[in-house]
Amino acid sequence: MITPLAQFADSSSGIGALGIDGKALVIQLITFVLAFWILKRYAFGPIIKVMNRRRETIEGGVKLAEQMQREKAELDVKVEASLHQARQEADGIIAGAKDMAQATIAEAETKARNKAAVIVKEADARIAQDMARARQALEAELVGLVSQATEAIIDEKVDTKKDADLIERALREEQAA
Amino acid sequence: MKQPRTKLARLIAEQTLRQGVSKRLSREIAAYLLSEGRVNELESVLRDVQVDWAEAGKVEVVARSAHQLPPKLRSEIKRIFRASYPKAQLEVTEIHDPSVLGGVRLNLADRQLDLSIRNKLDRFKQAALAGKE
Repeated sequence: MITPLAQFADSSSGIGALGIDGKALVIQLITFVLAFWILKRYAFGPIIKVMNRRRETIEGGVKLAEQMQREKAELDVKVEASLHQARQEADGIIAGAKDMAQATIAEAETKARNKAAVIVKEADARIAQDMARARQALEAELVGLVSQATEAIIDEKVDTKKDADLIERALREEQAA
Repeated sequence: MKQPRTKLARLIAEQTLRQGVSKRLSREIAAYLLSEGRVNELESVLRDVQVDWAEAGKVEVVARSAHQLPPKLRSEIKRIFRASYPKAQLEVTEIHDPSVLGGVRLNLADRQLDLSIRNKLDRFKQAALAGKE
């Protein structure tokens, strides 16, 4: 069997003098053209399509990312503005609430003072009433004691004779009246 | 049926004016009032009887005193009321009542003359208490 290398070694004229086998070269050229045609016909088109699609996708993603960056920056500005406004509103609400709380406390204090004054006044009136009642009770008791003592003395001192004199005098006074 | 108090008093007055006051009659009156549940009307009935007696010409003077009244004072009492009832038959009924303390409380059918020490003491108590109020 004669190998191309052997044929190449055996050639001694023309292109063969350069060590190139013309026949093999033609065959290789045809094979290459055929392989290139087949690859171009069936492989290069879809591969290029896929690559183009991927490139477009990547470009779209980059554009989208840039757009999102821009939107994020705008949103950050808006958020910052909203936060600033919210802080101002919150400060206003807190200040209003503080004023309202102070007013409520002041009102409650006034009410409590007024109520305490009323309670003290009522207590004073009740104490005065209790004292007056106690004084009346004491006086009634004193009168009762005086009456009892008088009864005891009269019972001991007034005998039949004195009682008769007493009645006689009373009857005379009654007649005179 | 419940008898009106005035009718009851009139019946008692008529009977006592006819027959005088007897223990038997007193017991019957007491029994009647007890059975009828009208014991608390006794004072009122007796007062009505006194009124009926006075209308019939008999005036009873009930004298309440702590000690027994001497006859002289009984006469004095009669003499005093004679002016008010010149034609009536005056009787003094004496009741011993230590709560009077001294003096006398005279009750007639339509009036009372309280000359007792109890009355004076009560008036003193009322005046003392009223003055403090």
